[in-house]
Amino acid sequence: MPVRFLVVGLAFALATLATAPVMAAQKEKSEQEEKKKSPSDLERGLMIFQSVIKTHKASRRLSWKEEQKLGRAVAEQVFLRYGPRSRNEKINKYVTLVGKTVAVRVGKREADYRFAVIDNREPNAFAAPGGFVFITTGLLKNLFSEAQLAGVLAHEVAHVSKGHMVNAIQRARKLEGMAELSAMLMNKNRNEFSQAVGEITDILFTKGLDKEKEFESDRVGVEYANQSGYDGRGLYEFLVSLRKKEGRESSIFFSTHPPTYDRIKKLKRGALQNIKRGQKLEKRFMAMAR
Amino acid sequence: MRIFTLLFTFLVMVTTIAWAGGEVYADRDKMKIFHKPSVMSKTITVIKKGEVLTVIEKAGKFYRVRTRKGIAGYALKSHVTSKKPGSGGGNDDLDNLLGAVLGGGRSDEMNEESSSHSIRGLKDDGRVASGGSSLKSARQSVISMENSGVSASELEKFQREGKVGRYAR
Repeated sequence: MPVRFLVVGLAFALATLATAPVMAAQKEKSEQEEKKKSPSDLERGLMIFQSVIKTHKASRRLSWKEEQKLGRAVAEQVFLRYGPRSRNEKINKYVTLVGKTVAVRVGKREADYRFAVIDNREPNAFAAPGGFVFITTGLLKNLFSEAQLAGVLAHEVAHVSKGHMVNAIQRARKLEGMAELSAMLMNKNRNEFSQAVGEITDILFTKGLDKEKEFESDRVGVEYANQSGYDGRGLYEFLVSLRKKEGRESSIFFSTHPPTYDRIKKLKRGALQNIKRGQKLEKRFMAMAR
Repeated sequence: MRIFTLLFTFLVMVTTIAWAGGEVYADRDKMKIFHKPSVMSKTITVIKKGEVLTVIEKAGKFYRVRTRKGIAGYALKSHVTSKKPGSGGGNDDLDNLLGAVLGGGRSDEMNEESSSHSIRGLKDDGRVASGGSSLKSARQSVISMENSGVSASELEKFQREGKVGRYAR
């Protein structure tokens, strides 16, 4: 028995001795590799410099052409999710005429703004980069005058003219040190492009924009509509009627926008203080949109 | 053996196409379409056996579908079939599936990619709209939207009549 123990012990000792140099060599090798991996001060400096350049590039606003390209893909997602463009050309044309009238106030590229009515019961309106603006038949049913429609469309136009969506995803990229958005679009990297589209649809359908951006669009929307000759209280009136439905109706409109009460309060204290009298056009609205 | 392999490949292809999008049929009478991807959710509508449904996206055990009347909601995968009940399917089915999945007209690969990605990427949080359309019709809608403009004279007449825009006081 003791002899067996002695043999086993001897074998173990020999094995340890045999493997020790190998283990030591391996340790040394891994340490050397680790050294190789960790960057030198010069390399670190270069990396920081590259990151600064990247961040600077990412902050450049997209060109209008790039925005349109992105907007086209987002528009496809809106139709995919909410249903196709309404076949009622009369209502599409009417909404386009009102939309174009307020879009003139943007002062540039107003001719590129496109408007569409979607046959969907859920009250909602969207804007995609590049001037694509949508309104559902469900929302049209909640309106009672052309001034209200102008207010809603002007709010959406303001989202585009102020670059809210593009800025939101560019800012996210900047924070994460990700690739430049415009380079992404131009390099035709399909995965990255679809990622940008996904980020915008996420804002539209799930997360919503920062509430400050919504307040800004409310304010600018009131200005656009009022400067176009409409009663500046159109958007306000719509929000008041909407507030009554808040909590009772489930719509992503409520989850992607700040509380309607806050929006009403902001408008009352701000933009509505400086409005001029304008057209309401209830009769024309009822004849064209109902 | 070779015939079996071919048949199997064909069946796999048809199933894949049906899963990716396209049209399916209600496999039972009084089939419920739910508001959310849950059987506990509100029933939006009830459809008859054999009624065609357009698949918008997959959502776990459910498909997000749109009925012929344009109502969108969720149908249990186990309650639908890719073959029209009683008819045994046929080439028309395959054509429909292919048409809906492959879309038509545009060859913009980036948009193709972005669409499919975004469908997958959308969060299924139950706050979906009660509408929706196929990829083909969504693309057609974008084209219609871009092509639908108003002439300068139409806009001028509209603004003059309403005393808005250039004619605002």
